[in-house]
Amino acid sequence: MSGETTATRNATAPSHTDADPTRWSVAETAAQLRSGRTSSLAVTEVYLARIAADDEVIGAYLTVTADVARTQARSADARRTAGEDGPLLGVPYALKDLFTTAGVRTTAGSRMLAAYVPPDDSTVYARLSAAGAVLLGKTNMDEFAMGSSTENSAFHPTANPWDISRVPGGSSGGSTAAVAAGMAAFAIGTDTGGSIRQPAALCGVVGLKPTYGRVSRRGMVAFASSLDQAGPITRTAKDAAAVLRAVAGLDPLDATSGDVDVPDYGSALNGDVTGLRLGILDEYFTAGLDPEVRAAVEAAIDVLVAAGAVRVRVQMPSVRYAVATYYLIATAECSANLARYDGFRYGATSDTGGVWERLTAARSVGFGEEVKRRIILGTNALSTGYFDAYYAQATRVRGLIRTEFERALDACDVIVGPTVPSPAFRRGEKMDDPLAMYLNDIYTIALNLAGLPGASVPCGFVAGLPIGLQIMGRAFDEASILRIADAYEARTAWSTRAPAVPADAARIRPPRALDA
Amino acid sequence: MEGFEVVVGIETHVQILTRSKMFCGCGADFAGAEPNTLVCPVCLGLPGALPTPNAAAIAAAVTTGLALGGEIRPRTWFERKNYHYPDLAKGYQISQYEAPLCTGGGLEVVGADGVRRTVGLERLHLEEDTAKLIHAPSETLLDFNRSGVPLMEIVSQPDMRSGDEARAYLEALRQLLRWLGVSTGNMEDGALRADVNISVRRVGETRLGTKIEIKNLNSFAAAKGAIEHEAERLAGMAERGETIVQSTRGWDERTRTTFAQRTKEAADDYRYFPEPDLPPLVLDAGWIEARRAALPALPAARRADLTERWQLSDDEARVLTRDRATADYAVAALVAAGPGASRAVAGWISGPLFALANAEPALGEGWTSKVPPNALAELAALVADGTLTRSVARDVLSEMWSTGRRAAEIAAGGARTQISGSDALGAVVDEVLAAHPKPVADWLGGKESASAFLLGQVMRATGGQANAAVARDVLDKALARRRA
Ligand SMILES: [Zn+2]
Repeated sequence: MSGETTATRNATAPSHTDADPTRWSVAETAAQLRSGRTSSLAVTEVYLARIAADDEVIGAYLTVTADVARTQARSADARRTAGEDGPLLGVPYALKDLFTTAGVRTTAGSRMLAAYVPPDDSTVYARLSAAGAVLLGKTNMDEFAMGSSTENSAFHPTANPWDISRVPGGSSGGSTAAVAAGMAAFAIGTDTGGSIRQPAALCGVVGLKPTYGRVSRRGMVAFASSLDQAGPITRTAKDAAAVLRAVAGLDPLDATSGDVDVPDYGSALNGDVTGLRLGILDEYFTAGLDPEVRAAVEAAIDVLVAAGAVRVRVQMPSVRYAVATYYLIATAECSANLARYDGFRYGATSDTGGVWERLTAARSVGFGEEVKRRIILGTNALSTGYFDAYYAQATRVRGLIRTEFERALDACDVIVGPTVPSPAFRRGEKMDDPLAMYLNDIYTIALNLAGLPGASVPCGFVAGLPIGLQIMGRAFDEASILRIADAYEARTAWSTRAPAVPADAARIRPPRALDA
Repeated sequence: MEGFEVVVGIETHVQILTRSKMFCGCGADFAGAEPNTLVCPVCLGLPGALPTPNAAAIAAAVTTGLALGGEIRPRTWFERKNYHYPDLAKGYQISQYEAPLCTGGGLEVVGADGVRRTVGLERLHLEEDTAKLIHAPSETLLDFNRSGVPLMEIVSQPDMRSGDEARAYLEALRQLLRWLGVSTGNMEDGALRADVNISVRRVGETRLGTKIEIKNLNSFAAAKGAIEHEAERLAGMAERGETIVQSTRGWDERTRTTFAQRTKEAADDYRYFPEPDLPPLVLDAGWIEARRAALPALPAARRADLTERWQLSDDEARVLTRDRATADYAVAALVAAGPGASRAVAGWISGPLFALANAEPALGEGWTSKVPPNALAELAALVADGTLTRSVARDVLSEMWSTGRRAAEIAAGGARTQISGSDALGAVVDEVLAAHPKPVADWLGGKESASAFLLGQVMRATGGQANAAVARDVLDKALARRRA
């Protein structure tokens, strides 16, 4: 009988998976490990080889933690041998380089922290380690998570695996590129204004930004504390559910983390969307939306309606102020969060000179242009004489946006729409036009201001480049989002496509000099 | 200063006595600890570290606010105060600005003129301390042990009118902090730090003059001296028609003068905004009321009780309320002794008992259990009913202190009871008169004060056990017989 069970399990797995472990989903990887046909160490070695072969072209990683990975893989194999099981046990993954990892440098993509080795583990990393996941490395990102293209990394850019002349999105571009290019079974990103969902859309993977407070921020290098939230980047909605369950839940060491039970999402992912009300937001289908993206998103909604969901029209007039509001609140918070990088304990440029000379010199050299721009914006927004017109006003608008979301989500179960207005742009295309870059997050930013959960799932291709369907839900109701994402996935084939990394492409990142 | 009035307001920073720091689990008792041993990612301000508020510190601040008669805000929040300095780990201090934990209230102080006055309070809020800069000859070192220690900032109204009053305010504040057990209040350790705002104006003027701030005064004497010196200086400038510029000054203990530190051209812009790492601080009304109900009787109430109910003088009351343990002891002893004995009991405490306690400073507040309040009341009663003389009773008290035995027991055990029989005393008096012919002759010659010397000799000869009134009577009669 047990032989039959194994045969059945293998038969349900797509045929390509047997050949190449780096294309396995998290669930498939766990199933393979459970079957005993391979080991975590073996799968880890395949991933490390893939990274060695492709990452100089993609540039997804800032640090590859091969030694840590092998140690954790052996430990996972031992735990499995001892009878333990778990959805992430022995599964290799990548962590955005702003989660602290004891003994492994954590740069946040900044020159300021190029040599920073933290003394302790972030809660997310500690929970993944406890679940037996295997850390392959720390991924590239826009400096301090400020950006939408990963071009603001102080170290090197990251290429979009679907077209290496294009950006992967950002700021979690390294994490999404790693998952898309088969260099990690899953990854963790962070989303302050769209930094998980936008690059997930541009790289053709699933990205989930949980409710603010769902996942502990302890050990996450802060950008904008009231908006930052960590979440999974995966190839399937089921995988996102498994990873979310491992990292979510109350953390007494994060005073803003929510004391809300984390459900077992497995039962929620039943494929049934009958009667679910999909809110269609007028404000998200306007002139700025690429017609082909619009067509793909509408087709995706049609798929869900055909499966039994119903359309409900909703309006949120204040959403048009979301980008402006975000760039006041996020910059204000970052101006304080980044004040600690003072040239004494981090990013010292000299041992001499007075306090102010050293501070100014270190911050001039240690921070990139976008970070400096935002610190200046935020400092102004908080200054006497400007506070009321900028920060305080933005806080009021944020309240309006939150109220409108709540009202809209009374009339529907989730809100669906595009994640991005257009597919991935070329590297360098928007670097001289910050405003154009900011508008890439026009559909994702409002959700962070409201503190609500949302996901992006692959919903088609425009000119050969992936785009995403965004699904936004009620506070702590990630289950509904994942259910719809899973149901959509089951009725389409977008998530089974994988990009091919050209073997002869130019290097985007230096060889492994930076690795741990 | 003729024709001028000085106006003083004081901002104090008080270290709250808690086991751990304000926003992390590190120990807060940094005195004597090796530098940089009481630190963690939170109080070092490392990337990714998050604050979690210390409930004990919040409770202590609420207790202090209630004791000061202030109003506790049931919903408040922390804010970030932004400025760069190497001793500020995060580049901002977690503090409160818009909505302090407590507003209003006041502190009763007794000025040098003996007049009681209430100094109004503006606010009390919570914040965290900074690290300590240690200036070595060639470099400056940082010790983060103090970083994140809980602080209360208590800001007074500009209600004080002299250096003496400012000093009395600080003394009263320290007394209250110790009374509540919320701080050591030690100025020399920096557990209580004072910044003084001072201005002068012509008598009768109601507007405030230009404000000078004198920072980091670390003793009561420094606060008083700095205010007195600065008031003279400002009055002189005003007299000469010179313009006073708002500025910060320091106090030089050696020369006993203030000196310029920096001029405020524009107000500091700390860019306060709500601390996003901490949810709003919501205090349950029942919890606040429970803290109010748990407040001990406070110094001012104790003083009023001693003067009104127990008919003690202001001075006696002040001495007996020097700290909470003394006040609790005194009230218990007064109650045990009952009405009528209060002056005597007060005298026993502030005299002989304080002397015994002072001789054993290591006891601290423990002195109050050496002679229980009812035991002291019993001793006072034995003196009052004539069983013991005052001087014998002093010895009995010493024995009670060292053995823990009761007064009656000690008195019965030895030949300690009073000699009050006139026959027994008559023999002693005759001996004394025979031994001191000169004072006797002086007395007979009209020098009445000579009898006091003779009475002293009688008391001495009986080892203090003579009943003084009977002895005087016997002596007077014996002297009168010699005149006849
Ligand atoms: Zn600490």
